[in-house]
Amino acid sequence: MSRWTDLKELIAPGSVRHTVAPPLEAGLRPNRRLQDASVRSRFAPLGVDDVVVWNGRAVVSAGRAVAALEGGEPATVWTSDAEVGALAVLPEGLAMAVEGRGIILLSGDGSTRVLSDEPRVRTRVTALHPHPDGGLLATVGSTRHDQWERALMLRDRSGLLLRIDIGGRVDELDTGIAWPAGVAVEADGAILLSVANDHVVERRAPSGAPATARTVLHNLPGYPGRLVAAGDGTWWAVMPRLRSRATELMFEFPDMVQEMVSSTEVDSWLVPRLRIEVPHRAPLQVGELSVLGQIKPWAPTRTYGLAFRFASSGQIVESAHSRADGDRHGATGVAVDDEGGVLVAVRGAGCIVEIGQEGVR
Amino acid sequence: MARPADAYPLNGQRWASKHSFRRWLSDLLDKSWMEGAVPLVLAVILGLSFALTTPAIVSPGDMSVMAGRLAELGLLAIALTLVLLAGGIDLSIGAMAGLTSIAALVMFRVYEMPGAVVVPITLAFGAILGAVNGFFIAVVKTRPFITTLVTAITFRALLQVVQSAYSAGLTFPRVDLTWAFLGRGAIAMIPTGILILLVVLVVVHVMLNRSRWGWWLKAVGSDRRSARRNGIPVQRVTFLAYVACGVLCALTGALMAARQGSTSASLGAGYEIIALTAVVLGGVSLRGGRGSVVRALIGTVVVVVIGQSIFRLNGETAVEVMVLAGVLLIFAAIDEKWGLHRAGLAQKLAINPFHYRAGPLVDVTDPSTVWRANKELDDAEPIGLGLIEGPEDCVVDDAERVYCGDRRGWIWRISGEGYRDAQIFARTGGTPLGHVWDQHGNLVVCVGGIGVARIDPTGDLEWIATHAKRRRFQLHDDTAIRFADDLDVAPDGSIYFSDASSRISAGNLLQMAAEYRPDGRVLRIDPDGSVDTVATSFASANGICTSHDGQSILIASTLFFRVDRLWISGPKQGQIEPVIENMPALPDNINRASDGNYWMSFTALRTPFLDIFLRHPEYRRAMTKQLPLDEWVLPQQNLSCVAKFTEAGDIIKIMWDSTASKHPLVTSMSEHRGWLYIGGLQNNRVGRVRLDPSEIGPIDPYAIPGLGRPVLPGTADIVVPDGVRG
Repeated sequence: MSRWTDLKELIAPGSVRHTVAPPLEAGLRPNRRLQDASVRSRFAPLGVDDVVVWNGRAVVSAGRAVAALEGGEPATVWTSDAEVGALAVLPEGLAMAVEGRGIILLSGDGSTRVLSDEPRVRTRVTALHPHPDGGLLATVGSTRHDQWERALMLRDRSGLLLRIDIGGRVDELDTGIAWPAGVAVEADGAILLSVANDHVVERRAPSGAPATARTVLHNLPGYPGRLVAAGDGTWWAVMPRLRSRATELMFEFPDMVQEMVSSTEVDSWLVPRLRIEVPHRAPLQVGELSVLGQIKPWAPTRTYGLAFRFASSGQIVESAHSRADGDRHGATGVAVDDEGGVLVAVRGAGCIVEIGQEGVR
Repeated sequence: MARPADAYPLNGQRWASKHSFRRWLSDLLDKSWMEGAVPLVLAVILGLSFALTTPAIVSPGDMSVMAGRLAELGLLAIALTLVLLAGGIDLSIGAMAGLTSIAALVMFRVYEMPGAVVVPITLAFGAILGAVNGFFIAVVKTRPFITTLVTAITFRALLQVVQSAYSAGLTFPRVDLTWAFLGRGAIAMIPTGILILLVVLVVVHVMLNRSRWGWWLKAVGSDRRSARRNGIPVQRVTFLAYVACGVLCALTGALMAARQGSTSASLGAGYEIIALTAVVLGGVSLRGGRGSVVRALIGTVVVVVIGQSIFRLNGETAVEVMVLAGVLLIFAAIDEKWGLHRAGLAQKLAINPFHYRAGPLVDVTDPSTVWRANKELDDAEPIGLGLIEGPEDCVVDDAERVYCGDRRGWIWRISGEGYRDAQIFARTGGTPLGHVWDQHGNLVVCVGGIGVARIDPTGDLEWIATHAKRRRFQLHDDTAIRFADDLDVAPDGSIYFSDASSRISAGNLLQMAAEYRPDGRVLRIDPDGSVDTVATSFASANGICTSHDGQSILIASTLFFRVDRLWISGPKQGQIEPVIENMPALPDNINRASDGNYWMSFTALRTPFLDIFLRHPEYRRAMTKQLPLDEWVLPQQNLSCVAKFTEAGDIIKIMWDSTASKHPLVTSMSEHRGWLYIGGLQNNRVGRVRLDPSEIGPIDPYAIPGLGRPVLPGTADIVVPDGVRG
């Protein structure tokens, strides 16, 4: 921030505007639904990413494997030598984004084939969704940075929205998106897209052209992630991370961001995270102080658990939270099973939970 | 008293960072005298520029004219200051002066009364005129502005009536000694008028500043409502202000009558605007309650000089009035804006984050370092769990009773089997921090926000330090002890204690962590009771410990991750030298260990982000302004540990609470009979762990170097005579 703005603010405080993340309110009013949800399956922390329902079974990407949840114990369906990320169910089988390999299709009989190993889809694929005309829609968070945190702090806008047909041909529907992190298709063929670093969920024409984008949810208090249809015209979405005012204030001081990004590891940055792995290196904010053995649920937090359901009109209908005093943080995947149960892949805590119905006590 | 030692050069920070211009400005603006000083300085500059551009005005003739005008206008300015201080205004002063002047002349010339009689009657008449204003404003509660505007017109009409009724008799001058002395006399070359002005000035100044009525007057002018709530008779005070104003106007009138003898009907016209200009130039606030008669007089001098300069330059009275009116407008605007924003500006400039360059950071999670993880504090036995809140420090007596502070201001004494008996041993009213036993077995406690208290074994509390001698050449008043933190007793019986910040009190700890300035200091309580600053420029001076040999004091500088040594005797007396620098954590209290080493607690861990954060004061300034307190960034304060270090400053042992839930914040530890007691400012318990026998040495940590072990409370309960011991 320049000296001039400082002076201006000193003289007329109302004349200078600062970015402020909105509070969690209305449909996003905090509760403990995610924290108190029943656990379907446990994995190592950060050991689970996406969840889909395939052939009546919940299937999750868990590290270098894909596992099916039947009863309690996960049964490994397929293993890889690289991390498996986003999943999508196609009529032909299960599409899996394997880091460094591309999009791989797993058939019901266990055989696999590479759907596409084109460079653009080999890495940083954040979400997959079946396209109504066959094949897949895919989002790529960034073509420059592997880590979301780095893309955020460097204000990267190099994400892609891609269409992959069943033959493996890749079409770019749009480029230059600020970390697209979720994609879905509405009944009329319109595309719903989570643009995480713009804090919006937008609707686009089936062509995906940027000119047709209309925001459905705007100025969200977090960075929205994957989307899935709830079946009644509404959509479930996850919010892996919440925005932080302290982080956003750093954007006013590019030198400081540059110094942080170039001289320290991501785990010590003051940025929202899925999980704090080494607290010894993590910054702390005043509200997070443990006072008399308690951490306040309202504490400003760098990790948070949130899944929410919204209508196409832009109204957030319900949400499930795990707050600062909880541990089910970093929800990255969501799926609705055949009975209408909502499964959330909580990556930070490494578990799959099933959240109860709204109003059920 | 020697000059305090300065620890700043040890820190290796830029010299330029030590002082902050903004802070200096903030301190300056915060002074209450600044309210009037700025307009006054501007006014004096204005007057000087007029005087210097028209040298003609320093001639004896001009000086004499100016002296006469000064006497009359000065008295009016003092009169106006009185009502302005009371929160009112008086526009009728010119008319009152004119009317009383004519009245005096009528008495003197028409009725041929002696001068010595005329003057008191004139003053009484002025009092009556003032009482009319006072009655309407104070009793009927009409607005001062409109009331005095109306009375001004009325008095002037009365003046014309009197003047036309007695115009024939008024023209004959008379000779009278008193009268001549009043108008043209002088004592020691000083004209009578000026002498009267000076006497009035001194009397009114003393009354305003030293009498009850003067204080009441300013209180009423500052805030009528709170003055009333404080039992001040607002009505009477206001009424008397207008009466006093009337009397002073009458005195002016008498002087005018004696000096000029003018019988014009426009006598005194326009004087109210000139007096108002003079007063506002002098920095008397139009908003009430603030100002001084001395400054008002300086303003009058400026106005008189300007008037005479314009007279010499141009000769037109109209131009003089025009210039003065312009000056009045400008200075009234300055008064309004300055008075409104001075304090706010001072506050906006008050927080000035420090640019701190920390050295390389040791990774405490690296297993090859002494900092590697362990679980040594995990199984600490809880004491007072669920009862005490925030025991920053603790000590133990000879009956194994634990004494610890509480954030509610209490000192607990916890005793008995399993520490189930707890009682409030003393109440301090502040935030009890460091504890120590003195040589007489009294508990001496640093109390954040107050100072240092001595508590005898029965629980009676006595304050032994609540303020220090003010250091010279400091704009900021560092008399108050705002954040007494830790303490220890030296071999000569004096007590050394740290004041974490000479500016920020214990309640604003977080502001200190955001600002990160080396404002901390170390003070010494002499056995004779005097309190002096002995060392300065510590960033949150915290742990204090007398060394085993009694020659030096160890001082932990929390925010600069270091421990320094202040020599208190021997060849290096008065010098400071580093002991441990650039630790990966923020040190808190230090205490002696039984094996000749020292215990030190760490209140928080340094993080890589913290080091960057500290190099960017501009971010921290924005943070303190834009973010709510809960979102301010801190060091990692939910993890902390206890260390043992040697006399040479090598850390040889670290004890962690790996759960980070029982003792997430360790601010102190105290070794007693093979146990280590652990306190923490935000914890809900005191913990104790049994030390490994290999770590326990022959030294009693509670023995004061050079003075031996004090007899602690509880000794009598368990002491066994030597002969009986097996």
